[in-house]
Amino acid sequence: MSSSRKRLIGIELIVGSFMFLILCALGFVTIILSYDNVFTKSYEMTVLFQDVTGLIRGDKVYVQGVDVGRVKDMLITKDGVEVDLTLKYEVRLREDYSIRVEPSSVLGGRFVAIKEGSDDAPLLPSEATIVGDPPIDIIAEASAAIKEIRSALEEGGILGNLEATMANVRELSDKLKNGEGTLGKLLTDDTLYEDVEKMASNLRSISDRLEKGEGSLGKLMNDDEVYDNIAAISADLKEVSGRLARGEGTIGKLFAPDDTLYKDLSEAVASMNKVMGSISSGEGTLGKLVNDDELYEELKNALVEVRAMLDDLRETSPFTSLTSIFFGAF
Amino acid sequence: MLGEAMTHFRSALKRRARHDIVEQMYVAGIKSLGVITVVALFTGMILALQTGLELRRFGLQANIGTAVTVVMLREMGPFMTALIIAASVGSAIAAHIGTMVVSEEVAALEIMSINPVRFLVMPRLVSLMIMMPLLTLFTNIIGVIGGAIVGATQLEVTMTAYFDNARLFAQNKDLYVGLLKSVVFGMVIATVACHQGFSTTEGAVGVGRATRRTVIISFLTILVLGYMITRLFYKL
Repeated sequence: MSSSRKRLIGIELIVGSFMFLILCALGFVTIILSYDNVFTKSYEMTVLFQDVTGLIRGDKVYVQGVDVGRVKDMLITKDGVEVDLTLKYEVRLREDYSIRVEPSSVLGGRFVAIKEGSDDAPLLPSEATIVGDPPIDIIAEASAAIKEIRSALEEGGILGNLEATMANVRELSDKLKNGEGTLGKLLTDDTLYEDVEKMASNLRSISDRLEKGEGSLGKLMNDDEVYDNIAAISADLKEVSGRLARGEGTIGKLFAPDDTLYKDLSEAVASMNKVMGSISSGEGTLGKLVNDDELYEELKNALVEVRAMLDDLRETSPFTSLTSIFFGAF
Repeated sequence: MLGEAMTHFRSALKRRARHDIVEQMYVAGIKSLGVITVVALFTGMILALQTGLELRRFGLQANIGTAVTVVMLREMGPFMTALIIAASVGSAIAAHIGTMVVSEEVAALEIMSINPVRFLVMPRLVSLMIMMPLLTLFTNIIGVIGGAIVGATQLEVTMTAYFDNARLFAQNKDLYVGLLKSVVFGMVIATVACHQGFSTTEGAVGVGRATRRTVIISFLTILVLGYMITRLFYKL
């Protein structure tokens, strides 16, 4: 075999291999893009919608949020739009099933959401036509919501209230800025801050003195002797109250359940009343002394005479004494 | 020239012509795989990066699979492949035939009753018409893989998510319209190159001029036809 022949065979082999590989790749890509997975079992389902709102071939199909397939094809019929779905999962629809075309994002895109239904509902017969729910138009709903909000704002007086509120807020902020009112002064005047600072300083000084045990309160807080004294006083008071409770001593007897002292006192008071009544009525010596003025006059005169006698005696006493001295020997 | 060459398609099945076609396919296709691989890989990577950076602002970078795949299948694959082949193979064809013309080899063929169109144009036309769609599919695959690499390494889009998203909006129509474009582009490149080669005059200067004109005319024709085919299959 000549070299040119060998070279030609080599070229044909290379080109043929390349073509074979590319054609295999073409087949593979074609299968991939046709959404038909020939290597796994798939299930077909046809759903009748009145409106698919822009659903396209290849859009995803979700069963309870799980991606289970794709939209294979769509066909417009007189009853609506028949949408063929290719599913990896055998969907078992029940009587209360729900199939809806929903938007996948605000920017666009759609998917088919399938809810198989509750377990207690009977299974849908296999020959039954599967009907999709009407679509949710997010833009229409949002427009309606915006319209309601605008109506509430304009007709419900919310805007007017907001304007009045903003005017009040502006007025309030102006007052605050100008330092009017208590709050304004709080914001603009440093006096309160200085006062608070002084108060804090004083409190700090007081707490220091208390901590050092200065002053009565400080000593109370730091000196145990005061506590001991108070404890002793309380012990004494306890003893006194115990004695009172036991009826010991005079005051205790007063508090005692036995009323002997009370009776004695009552009798003494009655006797005193009786004596005082006699005195008041002028009975007896003491009563006459209290009530009779004659005795007073007589006593007064007697005292005058006694004083005169004593004066005489005092004047005569030197002479008496001298004579007694001279004549005492005789 | 295109019509005349197509009349000789039947002779492509002959052994001698088949050998010529295979050799032209080897030159046009296999020998261009290196440059095509690099261009396709970086085209896909650039597409993924530029698209992904913008989509990431909205948290939608997972959609770069769709963006890269659709763009590669519909436009960039056929277009980039055609530009490379026009610049490398088309210019080579023009220079080859032009040199044969100025050295009167073509005249010698005619003297020997060998039809120069059948002998020189038909194998190149057939080889480019066959090789262009194959190279385009190769470009598409490499470009999509390049996008996946950028997605996985720079945009935090896993390969699985990328390819799952890639097949979401791409359709077989995109693939086959792109391949159709590449066939047309192959015909354009071969026809323009051969025509410029046969039109060569004034020696080596003429060969250079034919080569330059081949590249320019091919580029412009590819752009215009690319738009027209897209407009034909993708109506608003």
